[in-house]
Amino acid sequence: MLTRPASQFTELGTKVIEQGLADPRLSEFYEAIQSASHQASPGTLKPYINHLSLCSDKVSELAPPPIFYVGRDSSQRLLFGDKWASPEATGGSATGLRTPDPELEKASANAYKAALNLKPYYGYARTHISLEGETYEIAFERLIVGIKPAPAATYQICAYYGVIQDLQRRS
Amino acid sequence: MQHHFQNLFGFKSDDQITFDLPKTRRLDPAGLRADIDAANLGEMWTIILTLDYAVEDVSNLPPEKQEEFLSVMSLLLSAFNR
Repeated sequence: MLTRPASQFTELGTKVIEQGLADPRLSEFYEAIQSASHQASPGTLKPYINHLSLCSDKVSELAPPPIFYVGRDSSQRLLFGDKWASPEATGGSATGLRTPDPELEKASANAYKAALNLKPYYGYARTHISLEGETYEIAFERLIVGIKPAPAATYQICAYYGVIQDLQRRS
Repeated sequence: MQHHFQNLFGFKSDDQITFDLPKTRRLDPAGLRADIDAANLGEMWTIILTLDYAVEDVSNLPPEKQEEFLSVMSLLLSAFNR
Protein backbone atom coordinates (compact mmCIF):
# COMPACT_ATOMS: atom_id res chain seq x y z
CA MET A 1 0.00 0.00 0.00
CA LEU A 2 1.21 3.46 -0.83
CA THR A 3 2.57 5.31 2.17
CA ARG A 4 1.90 8.98 1.80
CA PRO A 5 3.09 11.21 4.62
CA ALA A 6 1.09 14.36 5.21
CA SER A 7 4.06 16.54 4.57
CA GLN A 8 7.16 15.98 2.52
CA PHE A 9 10.12 18.29 1.95
CA THR A 10 12.76 16.59 -0.14
CA GLU A 11 15.98 18.02 -1.47
CA LEU A 12 16.42 16.55 -4.92
CA GLY A 13 19.69 18.33 -5.61
CA THR A 14 20.72 20.33 -8.61
CA LYS A 15 21.88 17.24 -10.50
CA VAL A 16 18.22 16.64 -11.22
CA ILE A 17 18.12 20.00 -13.00
CA GLU A 18 21.26 19.14 -14.95
CA GLN A 19 19.65 15.87 -16.01
CA GLY A 20 16.75 17.81 -17.53
CA LEU A 21 14.13 16.65 -15.07
CA ALA A 22 13.14 20.02 -13.61
CA ASP A 23 10.75 22.66 -14.92
CA PRO A 24 12.34 24.06 -18.12
CA ARG A 25 12.13 27.74 -17.15
CA LEU A 26 13.44 27.05 -13.65
CA SER A 27 16.29 25.12 -15.24
CA GLU A 28 17.14 28.05 -17.50
CA PHE A 29 17.32 30.33 -14.48
CA TYR A 30 19.61 27.88 -12.69
CA GLU A 31 21.95 27.72 -15.66
CA ALA A 32 22.02 31.51 -15.98
CA ILE A 33 23.00 31.96 -12.33
CA GLN A 34 25.62 29.22 -12.50
CA SER A 35 27.12 30.77 -15.64
CA ALA A 36 27.30 34.12 -13.86
CA SER A 37 29.06 32.51 -10.87
CA HIS A 38 26.28 33.75 -8.58
CA GLN A 39 27.15 37.36 -9.37
CA ALA A 40 24.03 38.37 -11.14
CA SER A 41 24.03 41.36 -13.41
CA PRO A 42 20.75 43.02 -14.41
CA GLY A 43 21.10 41.23 -17.75
CA THR A 44 21.24 37.86 -16.02
CA LEU A 45 18.15 38.52 -13.93
CA LYS A 46 16.04 40.31 -16.53
CA PRO A 47 14.37 37.30 -18.21
CA TYR A 48 13.38 35.82 -14.85
CA ILE A 49 12.68 38.71 -12.51
CA ASN A 50 8.89 38.42 -12.80
CA HIS A 51 9.01 34.79 -11.69
CA LEU A 52 11.22 35.35 -8.66
CA SER A 53 10.72 36.22 -5.04
CA LEU A 54 13.75 37.94 -3.54
CA CYS A 55 14.73 37.99 0.09
CA SER A 56 17.63 39.15 2.22
CA ASP A 57 20.48 37.13 3.71
CA LYS A 58 19.13 37.36 7.28
CA VAL A 59 18.26 33.72 7.89
CA SER A 60 17.73 32.11 11.31
CA GLU A 61 17.22 28.59 12.64
CA LEU A 62 13.47 28.99 12.61
CA ALA A 63 12.73 31.18 9.64
CA PRO A 64 13.95 31.96 6.15
CA PRO A 65 15.07 35.49 5.38
CA PRO A 66 12.35 38.13 5.01
CA ILE A 67 11.09 38.75 1.49
CA PHE A 68 11.28 42.20 -0.04
CA TYR A 69 10.22 41.59 -3.64
CA VAL A 70 7.60 39.28 -5.12
CA GLY A 71 7.62 39.12 -8.92
CA ARG A 72 4.40 39.67 -10.84
CA ASP A 73 4.23 36.06 -12.02
CA SER A 74 5.90 34.42 -9.03
CA SER A 75 4.35 31.35 -7.46
CA GLN A 76 4.17 33.08 -4.07
CA ARG A 77 2.12 35.95 -5.51
CA LEU A 78 -0.14 33.45 -7.25
CA LEU A 79 -0.63 31.57 -4.00
CA PHE A 80 -0.86 34.33 -1.42
CA GLY A 81 -2.31 37.13 -3.55
CA ASP A 82 -1.43 40.64 -4.71
CA LYS A 83 -2.32 42.34 -1.46
CA TRP A 84 0.07 40.15 0.48
CA ALA A 85 2.82 40.61 -2.11
CA SER A 86 2.51 44.40 -2.36
CA PRO A 87 1.85 46.05 0.98
CA GLU A 88 0.90 49.66 0.46
CA ALA A 89 3.71 52.17 0.44
CA THR A 90 2.31 54.02 3.41
CA GLY A 91 2.49 50.97 5.62
CA GLY A 92 5.18 48.57 4.54
CA SER A 93 6.09 45.84 6.98
CA ALA A 94 8.69 46.75 9.55
CA THR A 95 10.29 43.33 9.24
CA GLY A 96 9.93 42.41 5.58
CA LEU A 97 7.37 40.02 4.19
CA ARG A 98 6.77 36.57 5.61
CA THR A 99 4.65 33.88 4.04
CA PRO A 100 1.39 33.53 5.98
CA ASP A 101 2.02 29.92 6.98
CA PRO A 102 4.37 29.51 10.01
CA GLU A 103 4.98 25.78 9.38
CA LEU A 104 6.05 26.45 5.83
CA GLU A 105 8.38 29.16 7.09
CA LYS A 106 10.04 26.83 9.58
CA ALA A 107 10.48 24.07 7.03
CA SER A 108 12.23 26.39 4.59
CA ALA A 109 15.00 27.85 6.74
CA ASN A 110 17.62 25.19 5.98
CA ALA A 111 17.14 25.53 2.24
CA TYR A 112 17.92 29.23 2.43
CA LYS A 113 20.94 28.60 4.63
CA ALA A 114 22.35 26.25 2.02
CA ALA A 115 21.70 28.74 -0.77
CA LEU A 116 23.53 31.48 1.11
CA ASN A 117 26.55 29.17 1.30
CA LEU A 118 26.63 29.09 -2.52
CA LYS A 119 24.96 25.69 -2.56
CA PRO A 120 21.82 26.15 -4.64
CA TYR A 121 18.87 24.28 -3.20
CA TYR A 122 16.52 22.41 -5.49
CA GLY A 123 13.75 20.35 -3.99
CA TYR A 124 10.22 19.12 -4.06
CA ALA A 125 7.67 19.76 -1.38
CA ARG A 126 4.16 18.57 -0.71
CA THR A 127 2.50 19.90 2.37
CA HIS A 128 -0.62 21.38 3.85
CA ILE A 129 -0.88 25.11 4.17
CA SER A 130 -3.42 27.25 5.97
CA LEU A 131 -4.88 30.13 4.03
CA GLU A 132 -7.86 32.18 5.03
CA GLY A 133 -8.94 29.55 7.54
CA GLU A 134 -8.93 26.84 4.88
CA THR A 135 -6.46 24.01 4.49
CA TYR A 136 -4.90 23.25 1.13
CA GLU A 137 -2.52 20.59 -0.02
CA ILE A 138 0.12 22.03 -2.26
CA ALA A 139 2.89 20.38 -4.25
CA PHE A 140 5.68 22.46 -5.69
CA GLU A 141 9.26 22.37 -6.85
CA ARG A 142 11.55 25.17 -5.80
CA LEU A 143 14.99 26.46 -6.54
CA ILE A 144 16.69 28.80 -4.10
CA VAL A 145 19.98 30.43 -5.01
CA GLY A 146 22.20 32.96 -3.30
CA ILE A 147 23.21 35.88 -5.49
CA LYS A 148 25.57 38.79 -5.13
CA PRO A 149 23.86 41.71 -6.85
CA ALA A 150 27.20 43.34 -7.75
CA PRO A 151 30.84 42.22 -7.49
CA ALA A 152 31.55 44.69 -4.69
CA ALA A 153 28.33 44.05 -2.80
CA THR A 154 28.85 43.11 0.84
CA TYR A 155 25.60 41.19 1.04
CA GLN A 156 23.72 38.47 -0.81
CA ILE A 157 20.13 38.14 -1.80
CA CYS A 158 18.26 34.86 -2.07
CA ALA A 159 16.24 34.28 -5.21
CA TYR A 160 13.34 31.83 -4.95
CA TYR A 161 11.94 30.27 -8.12
CA GLY A 162 8.90 28.15 -7.32
CA VAL A 163 6.67 26.14 -9.62
CA ILE A 164 3.31 25.00 -8.24
CA GLN A 165 2.51 21.53 -9.49
CA ASP A 166 -0.73 20.84 -7.68
CA LEU A 167 -3.10 22.60 -5.32
CA GLN A 168 -6.15 21.00 -3.72
CA ARG A 169 -8.54 22.26 -1.09
CA ARG A 170 -8.71 19.83 1.86
CA SER A 171 -11.21 21.50 4.18
CA MET B 1 -2.51 49.81 7.78
CA GLN B 2 -5.05 47.14 7.21
CA HIS B 3 -5.42 44.96 4.20
CA HIS B 4 -7.25 41.89 3.06
CA PHE B 5 -5.85 38.87 1.34
CA GLN B 6 -7.17 38.17 -2.11
CA ASN B 7 -5.39 35.35 -3.82
CA LEU B 8 -5.77 33.01 -6.73
CA PHE B 9 -8.85 31.48 -5.18
CA GLY B 10 -10.50 34.86 -5.49
CA PHE B 11 -11.55 35.15 -1.91
CA LYS B 12 -10.87 37.87 0.60
CA SER B 13 -10.24 37.46 4.26
CA ASP B 14 -11.69 39.43 7.11
CA ASP B 15 -8.41 38.96 8.91
CA GLN B 16 -6.80 42.29 9.44
CA ILE B 17 -3.06 42.55 9.38
CA THR B 18 -1.37 45.52 10.94
CA PHE B 19 2.04 46.68 9.86
CA ASP B 20 4.04 49.15 11.92
CA LEU B 21 6.40 51.38 10.03
CA PRO B 22 9.38 52.87 11.84
CA LYS B 23 8.75 56.57 12.35
CA THR B 24 12.07 57.51 10.83
CA ARG B 25 11.30 55.76 7.54
CA ARG B 26 10.81 58.16 4.66
CA LEU B 27 8.85 57.13 1.63
CA ASP B 28 9.52 60.15 -0.51
CA PRO B 29 11.73 59.03 -3.41
CA ALA B 30 14.76 61.16 -2.57
CA GLY B 31 14.70 60.35 1.12
CA LEU B 32 14.22 56.64 0.57
CA ARG B 33 16.97 56.56 -2.04
CA ALA B 34 19.28 58.23 0.47
CA ASP B 35 18.38 55.59 3.06
CA ILE B 36 19.00 52.81 0.54
CA ASP B 37 22.38 54.27 -0.45
CA ALA B 38 23.36 54.71 3.20
CA ALA B 39 22.56 51.03 3.74
CA ASN B 40 24.73 50.05 0.72
CA LEU B 41 21.73 48.51 -1.01
CA GLY B 42 21.77 50.79 -4.05
CA GLU B 43 22.22 47.91 -6.51
CA MET B 44 18.81 46.53 -5.63
CA TRP B 45 17.13 49.89 -6.25
CA THR B 46 18.59 49.96 -9.75
CA ILE B 47 17.94 46.29 -10.54
CA ILE B 48 14.28 46.32 -9.54
CA LEU B 49 13.54 49.75 -11.00
CA THR B 50 15.06 48.99 -14.38
CA LEU B 51 14.10 45.34 -14.76
CA ASP B 52 10.60 45.27 -13.35
CA TYR B 53 9.43 48.86 -13.80
CA ALA B 54 11.47 49.49 -16.96
CA VAL B 55 12.50 53.05 -16.11
CA GLU B 56 15.82 54.59 -15.10
CA ASP B 57 14.34 57.22 -12.80
CA VAL B 58 11.56 56.69 -10.29
CA SER B 59 10.04 60.07 -11.23
CA ASN B 60 9.15 58.59 -14.61
CA LEU B 61 6.68 56.20 -13.00
CA PRO B 62 2.98 57.05 -12.63
CA PRO B 63 2.05 57.79 -8.98
CA GLU B 64 0.53 54.36 -8.31
CA LYS B 65 3.57 52.51 -9.64
CA GLN B 66 5.89 54.89 -7.84
CA GLU B 67 4.20 54.06 -4.53
CA GLU B 68 4.41 50.36 -5.27
CA PHE B 69 8.12 50.60 -6.04
CA LEU B 70 8.83 52.67 -2.93
CA SER B 71 6.99 50.08 -0.87
CA VAL B 72 9.31 47.40 -2.24
CA MET B 73 12.31 49.55 -1.35
CA SER B 74 10.92 50.05 2.14
CA LEU B 75 10.61 46.29 2.47
CA LEU B 76 14.19 45.94 1.23
CA LEU B 77 15.48 48.09 4.09
CA SER B 78 13.39 46.17 6.59
CA ALA B 79 14.49 42.79 5.25
CA PHE B 80 18.14 43.71 5.81
CA ASN B 81 17.44 45.21 9.24
CA ARG B 82 18.71 48.56 8.04
